[in-house]
Amino acid sequence: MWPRISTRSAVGDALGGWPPPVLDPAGPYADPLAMLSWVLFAIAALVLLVVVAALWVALFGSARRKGRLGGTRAIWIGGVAFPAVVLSALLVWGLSLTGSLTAPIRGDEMRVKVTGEMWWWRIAYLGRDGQAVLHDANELHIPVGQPVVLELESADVIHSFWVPRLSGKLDMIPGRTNMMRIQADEPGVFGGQCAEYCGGPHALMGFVVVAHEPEDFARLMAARTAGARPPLPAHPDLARGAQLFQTAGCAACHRIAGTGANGIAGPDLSFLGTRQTLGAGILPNNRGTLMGWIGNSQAIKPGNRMPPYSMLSSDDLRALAVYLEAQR
Amino acid sequence: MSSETGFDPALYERFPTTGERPAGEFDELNRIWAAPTGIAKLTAVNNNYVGVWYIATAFLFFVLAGVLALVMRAQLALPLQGILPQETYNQFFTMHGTIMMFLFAVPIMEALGVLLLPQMLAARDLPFPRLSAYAFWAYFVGGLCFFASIFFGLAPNGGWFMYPPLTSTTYSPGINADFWLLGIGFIEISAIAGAIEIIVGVLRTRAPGMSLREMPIFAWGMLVFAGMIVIAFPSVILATLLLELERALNWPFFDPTRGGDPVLWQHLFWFFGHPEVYIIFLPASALVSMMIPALARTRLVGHNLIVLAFLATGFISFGVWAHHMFATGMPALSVGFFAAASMAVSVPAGIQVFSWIATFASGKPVFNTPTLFVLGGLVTFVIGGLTGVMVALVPFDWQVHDTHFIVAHLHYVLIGGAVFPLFAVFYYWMGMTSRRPLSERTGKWVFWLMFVGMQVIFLPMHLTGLMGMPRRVYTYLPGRDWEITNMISTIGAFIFAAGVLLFLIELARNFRFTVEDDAGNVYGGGTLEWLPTGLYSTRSIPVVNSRYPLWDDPGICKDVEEGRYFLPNAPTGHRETIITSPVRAEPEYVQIMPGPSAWPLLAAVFTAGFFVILTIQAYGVALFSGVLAVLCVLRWLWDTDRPIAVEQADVGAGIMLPTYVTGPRTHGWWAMIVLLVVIGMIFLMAVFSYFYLYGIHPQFWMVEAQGWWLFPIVGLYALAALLAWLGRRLLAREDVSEWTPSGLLLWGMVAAGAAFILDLWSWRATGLTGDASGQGAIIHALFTLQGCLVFILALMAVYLAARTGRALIIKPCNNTFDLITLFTWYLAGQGAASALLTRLVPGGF
Amino acid sequence: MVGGRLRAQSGIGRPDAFAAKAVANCARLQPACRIAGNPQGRSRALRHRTRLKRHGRVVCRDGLTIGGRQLAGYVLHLGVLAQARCIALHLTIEVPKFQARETRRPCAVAESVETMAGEARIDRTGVAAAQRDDLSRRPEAIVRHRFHGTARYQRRRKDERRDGAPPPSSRFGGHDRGTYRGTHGSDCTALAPGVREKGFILSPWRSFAALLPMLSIAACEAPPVDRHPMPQADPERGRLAMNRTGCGSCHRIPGVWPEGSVGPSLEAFAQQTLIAGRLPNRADVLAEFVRDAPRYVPGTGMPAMPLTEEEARDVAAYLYTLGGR
Repeated sequence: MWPRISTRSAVGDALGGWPPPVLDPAGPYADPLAMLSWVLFAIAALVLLVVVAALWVALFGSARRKGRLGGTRAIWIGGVAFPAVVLSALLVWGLSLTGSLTAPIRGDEMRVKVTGEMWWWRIAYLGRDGQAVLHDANELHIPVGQPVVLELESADVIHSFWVPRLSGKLDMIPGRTNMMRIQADEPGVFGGQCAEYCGGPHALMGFVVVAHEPEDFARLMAARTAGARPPLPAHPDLARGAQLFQTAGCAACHRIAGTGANGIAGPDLSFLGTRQTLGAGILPNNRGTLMGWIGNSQAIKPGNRMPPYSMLSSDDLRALAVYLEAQR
Repeated sequence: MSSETGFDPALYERFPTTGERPAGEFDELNRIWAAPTGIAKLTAVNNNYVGVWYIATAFLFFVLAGVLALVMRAQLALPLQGILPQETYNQFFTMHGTIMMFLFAVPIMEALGVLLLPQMLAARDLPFPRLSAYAFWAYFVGGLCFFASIFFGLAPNGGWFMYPPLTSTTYSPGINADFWLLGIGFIEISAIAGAIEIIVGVLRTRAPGMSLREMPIFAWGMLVFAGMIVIAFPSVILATLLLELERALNWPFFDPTRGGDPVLWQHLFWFFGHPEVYIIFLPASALVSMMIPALARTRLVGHNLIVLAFLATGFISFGVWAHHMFATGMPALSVGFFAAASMAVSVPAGIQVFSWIATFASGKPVFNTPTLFVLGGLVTFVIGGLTGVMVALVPFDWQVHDTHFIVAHLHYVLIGGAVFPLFAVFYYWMGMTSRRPLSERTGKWVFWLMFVGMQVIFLPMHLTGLMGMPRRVYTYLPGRDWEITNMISTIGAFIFAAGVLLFLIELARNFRFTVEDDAGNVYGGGTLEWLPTGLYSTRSIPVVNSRYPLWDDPGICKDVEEGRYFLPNAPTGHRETIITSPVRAEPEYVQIMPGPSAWPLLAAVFTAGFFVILTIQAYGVALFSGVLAVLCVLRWLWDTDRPIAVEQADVGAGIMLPTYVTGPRTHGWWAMIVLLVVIGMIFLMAVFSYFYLYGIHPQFWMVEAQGWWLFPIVGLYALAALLAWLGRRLLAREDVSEWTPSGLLLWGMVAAGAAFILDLWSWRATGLTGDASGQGAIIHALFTLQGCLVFILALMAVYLAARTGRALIIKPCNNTFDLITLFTWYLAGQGAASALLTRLVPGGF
Repeated sequence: MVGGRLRAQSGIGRPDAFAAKAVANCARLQPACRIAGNPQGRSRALRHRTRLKRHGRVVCRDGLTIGGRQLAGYVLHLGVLAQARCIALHLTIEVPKFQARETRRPCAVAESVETMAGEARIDRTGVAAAQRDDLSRRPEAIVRHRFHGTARYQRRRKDERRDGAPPPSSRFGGHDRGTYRGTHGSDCTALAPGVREKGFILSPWRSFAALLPMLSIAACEAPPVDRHPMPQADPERGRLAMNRTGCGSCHRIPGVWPEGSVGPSLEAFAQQTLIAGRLPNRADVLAEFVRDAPRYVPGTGMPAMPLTEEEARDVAAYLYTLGGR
C-alpha cells in the first residue's frame, strides 16, 4: 500500500523511514496500533473538517445559517454532545485495546532480558529457569511467529525500548522491571531506538532486532550456546589481535565467550563479527569502522564510556579489528 | 436585592453624581499617583509600568528561546550536521523548553494579568503593587542570569522535565542541573506572588457592583489560572527542592538502590507539568473570549458555559498528569483512568471553541489583524487538540510518545492556544500602552508569515514522528527518509522567524510607551479597560452592572473622566483603591496602597543574587546576599500596616468607608490564606511522596522512632497555637500593655521551635540519616520544610518584637499581629501532622 | 590513451565531426602543446584559480584561458566557436615547442583535453569514455607509480636544480623521459594504440571534437573549479557512500559523519599533494586507494573498505570537492 519513494541506505535500512514504521507493522503487537492510528487520523480529519466548516459558516455564511450557529445550542451540540459521543466510543475501544495488548504473560514464552545502559543495550537470553544462557549486545535475535517476552531494565538512567514495527515503546526504569512482548510475523531486520532522553549521545543509541525462521533461530541459538566457538579463520594478525585484546585493556570491560576476557562493563563482543552495526546501531560494521571506533570512539559518539586508545599503532588497531571481526 | 456585607445597593443609585467636582482634586490625584522619573523610574510599582516591563521581558525570552529553536532546526535540517555539537544541542533543547514554559508562557500570562486586570476591574492597581514589582525584578534578574548560563556552557542539559537519575549528581556532576533548579526557583517565586496578587485582586478589588456575573471573562480565566498555580506549583516546588537536596546532600529520593524511585519525580513533575499547559492556555483563551466580542461586534455567546469550561478544565487538569507516563509501565487500571480524564478535558476546550464560533456567527466579524490571529490560533489549536485526543489513547501513545509527533502536537496546542492569541492581544491591547497603534498592513504580513511558517514547521513533523524519529536527538543518520520532512520543517521555522522579526520591526516603528495619551480603543472593545486612564488608572471607579459597560452605557466614559463615580479624589491623601466583597463586589473599605519604593527592587536583586551565587557555589557571598534580601524585605514591610488619621473616608456621593480594617475581611488576610494554601499544598505533596516511597520500597523502612515522643511534640505545637490565640484575644483588651499579647505570641513561637527541635532530635537519636534510605530522606525532607517555616517564624518573631518595641502593634486589633498568628497556627498544625505521620505510618500500624 | 576508447565511440555526431575537423586542422600544423610540458602545473593552476575568483574567468589549469563567464551571455553561443578558435590558436602556437619533446605528446594532449573537459564539468560520452579509460582501471599501473614515484620526484627536483628550467610535467605525475619509458611505456602502447598507428594528433583532435559542443554547455554553467575532473562520478553519491561505509569513523571529512580522529583529516583533501604520504593525489589513484589501501601502501593504517568501483570513484570525486578552491 505504500509507494516506494524510499532512498534507504544500508545502515538506515532497518531504522525507521518510509513507509512510516508506525503504520507499517510487522507483528501482532503493532498491527492494532496501526489500525488505531488510521481510524484516529480519519476521525481527526473529519472533526477538523466539521470545525472549519462551522467556522466558515460563522464568518462567511448566509444570515440564516449564521443565525442557526450563533447560539448556545451550537455550543451544546458541537462542544459537548459531539465530543462526548466520539470520545466515549474511542475511549472504550482504546481501553479494550490496552487491555488486550497488556494481557497477562503466559509464562512459556521465550524470554530475553534487555538492559538499557548509557548508550547501548545489554541483551541476555534467558533459559527456562530464568538464568541467562547467552549474552549479547545491541542486536536482538528472535524467532518468527511467536511472542518473545522482554524484561526491560535499566542499569543507570531511564531509557525507553522502541521497535516501532513490532510494538509500542516501554520505558526502562532503574529499580523496576517492565515486561513487554514483541513478535515478528516475517523474517527481517527491524530497527529500534532509545526513545527516552538519556543524556549525552541519546541520539546515537539504536539497535536492531533480527527475526529468523524458527529453525534458523534454533540453529543459531544452539551454535551460540554450545560453548564451542567455530575455529577462527587463518589470518596473520589474529594471534596478535587476541593478545592485544587481553593486554591493551579491552578485556577489562568486554567479554568474549571462551576466552579469558570477562569484562562486564561494556558490551559483550562474543559475536561482534556477525553484528550488522557498530556503536549501538550507528555505524556499519567493517574493519575500517572497527579501527576507527577502537582508536577514538569519543570522536564518533561523544561522551560514551569507552576511552580513546591513542596508544595503539595502526598495526595494533588492525590486528584488533581482525580479531574482533573473527568473533562469530 | 439582598446584600452581602450590609452595604445598601440602593446607594449605587447616587451615581453618576451631578454637580461640579472641586477644583484641584484631579491635580492631586495626578500628584499622588505620579511615577518617579529618571533612574528612580525603576522603583515604580504602578501596574502600568511593571506590567509593560513584565511583558517586554517575557517577550524577550520568547525571542531568545526562539533563536535557540532556529539554531536547532538548522542543525536538524539535514542528517549528521555539525552546526551544534551534541552537548550544546542538549543544552539548547533543554533551555528552549524551559524558557518557553517557565520564563515566557507563565510569566507573560501573569504580566498580562498585572497590566490588564486592574483596568478591566477598574481598580487603581492590584492590591499588592510592591509584590508585583518584587516578583518582576526577581524574574528579570534571575531569568537573565539563568539564560546567560548558556554562554558559559553551563546551561542545564537534562531536558526541561529533568528526569532523575539522569539529573542526579552521578550522571550530571556539573552545576548545569543546578542552574535549571535556580531558573525554576525564580519562576516559582514570581508565579506564586502573581497568583496571590491575582486571586486577591480579582476577588477583592473589582469595581463596585461588578458581581461575579458581570465580571469580565478574562478575570474568570485569571482566577482559575491563579487557583491552578496555587495547586500545581507546590508540586514542582517540592520536586525541585527534593532534587536539589538529593544533589547537594545525597538524600536518595530518586535513587532506587537506596529506597527512592525515579518515577516519584515524574509524578510530582507532571502533577504540575500538565496543569501547566492549561495554566498557559486558560488566560490566553480567556483573552480570546475578551477579544472576539469586540472583533465580531457582539456579545460573547455562552459566557456562562465558558466560565464552567474554565472551572472544569481547572478541575480535570489535575487528573491527567500521568498521561505523560503511559510508557512507564503503569498498571492498566490507572492508565484507564488517566486516559479517560485526558479525553474528558477536551470537552471544555470544545465548549470554548464552539462558543467562539457561535460568537462569530452571531456577529459581524471584521477581518483585522487580531481577528486573523484569533482565527489562526483557533484552527491551529483545534488541530493540536485532535492530536491530543489521539495521544490520550494509550496504545497510540505507546507508539508516538517521545517522538516528533509529540513535538508537533504540543507546538500546535501551545502556539495555537497561546502564542497566536498573544499576538492578537498585542495588536488588540497595544492601544492601551502605546501612543500609536500597530500597523494593520504589517500585521497581516506578520500573521500570514507566522501562520504559514507554523503549519510548514509542524504539519510535516507529525509524519517525521510516525517515521520513527525520536525527540531530543541532536542528529540522525541518513538513509531513514527523515531528511525531507526535517528540511521542510526547518524552512518553516525560518518563515515563522521572519514573521516574528517583522513584528519586532513593527514594534520599533510604532510602539511608543505611554500611560496617558495612548492610542485608545482601536478595536471598539466594550469592557472597562478602555475607559480613559492615567497613571492613577481611571479618574473615578464606576458602578458596574453589565458585562460590557462601555456598550451599554455610552455616557460612562465621560462620567468616569469627570469623576462622577467612586473615589474621584484621594480622600486620604494616599494612593488608595476600594476593596469590595468577593461575590457582589460591594464596597467594604478603602485600601491604602504603597507607592514607589526601592526596597522590593533591592530585595529582588539580592534574592536573585542569593540563588545565582549559591549555584556557583560561593557560599559566603550567597549568604551575605541572602541576609541583605531578608533585610530589604523587612524594611519594605516596615512601612506597611500603619493606620492613618482619617478613619472614615468619603469615597464619593457621601458614602463613607473605613480606611483600616482587620481580620478575615482584609485583603492581607486573604493573601495570607492563599499563601498558606500554597505551603499546605507543598506539605501535602511531601506527604504524598512519603506514602509513595513507602509503597514502592517498604523494605527500606526499618527505623522506628518511639511513639511516646508524640506527646511532648504535639503538646508543644498545641501550646504554641493556644498561646498565639490567647495573644490575639488579649490584644483586644484595653487593660494590658502591648507587650503582653506580643509576649504570648513570642512564647508560642518558642514553643513551636522547641517542638520542631524535639521532633528532629528524637529522629536523629534513632540514628536515621538523610542519606541512609528513602525513609531517612523523606523524613528529613519533611523536617526541611518544617525548618524553613520555623526559620520564617523566627524572622517574624524579630519583626514582631521590633514593631512592638516601636509601638506599631496597635490595639485592639492589628493586621501584622493577625497574620503572624495565622502563620503560627498553620506551622503548629503542619508540625503536628508531620510528627504524627512519621511516627504512625508505617510504624504505628 | 584516450584515443583507443574514443575511436571506438560512435556517439560523436556530424556536427562534432565537423568541428573536430576544424580543430584538427589547426592542431595538425603544429601538434601538441606546452600543456603537457607545464612544469608548474599545480602552482599555476592555483594562481589561475585565484584569478578566476577575481575575474570570474574560467582558466584551464594548463594555461588555456576560456572566458566562459563572458560567453554565457552571448546569444546562440557564438562565442563558443570563437573560444574553440582561440584554443586552436593557442595550440598552434604552443605545439611547435612541444614537438621537440616528442614521445609524451599523445598522452599529454589527451590529458589536457581530458582536463579541460573535466574542468568544464562535461559529462558526455566522449570525455566520459576518456575518463573511464584512465588508470583507475589498472591497478598495476598504480603499483608501478608507487615503486617509481619516489625516484621520479627526486629526479625531477634534481632537474630543477640543474638547469633552472623546470622539466615538463603533466598531471600524470610529471614523468621525465626515462621514467616514463621505463614504467609506462607499455601502458602507453596498450592504452593508446591509435597513437602508434596514426601519430599523436588523432587522439587529441578526436577529443577536441567531443569537447567542442561541450564547451557550449560549459559556457552556460557556473565557472568550473574542479581541479581533479571526474566527470562521471557524483560527489553527492560519494558522500552518501562514505556515510554508509563509515569513513568518518577515522577521518574528519566535512559533510560526513562522524568526525573521527584516528586517521588524518581530509578537510582540504583536494589541495593535498600525496595520498597517504606516498601516492600522487590523482583521481584514478585515489579511486583505487580508497577501496584497498593496504594493497598500494602496505603497512598503512587504513584497511580495505567495502566500496564498489563505482562508489570508490564517487568517493574520490567528493574528496576533491574539499578545500579545492
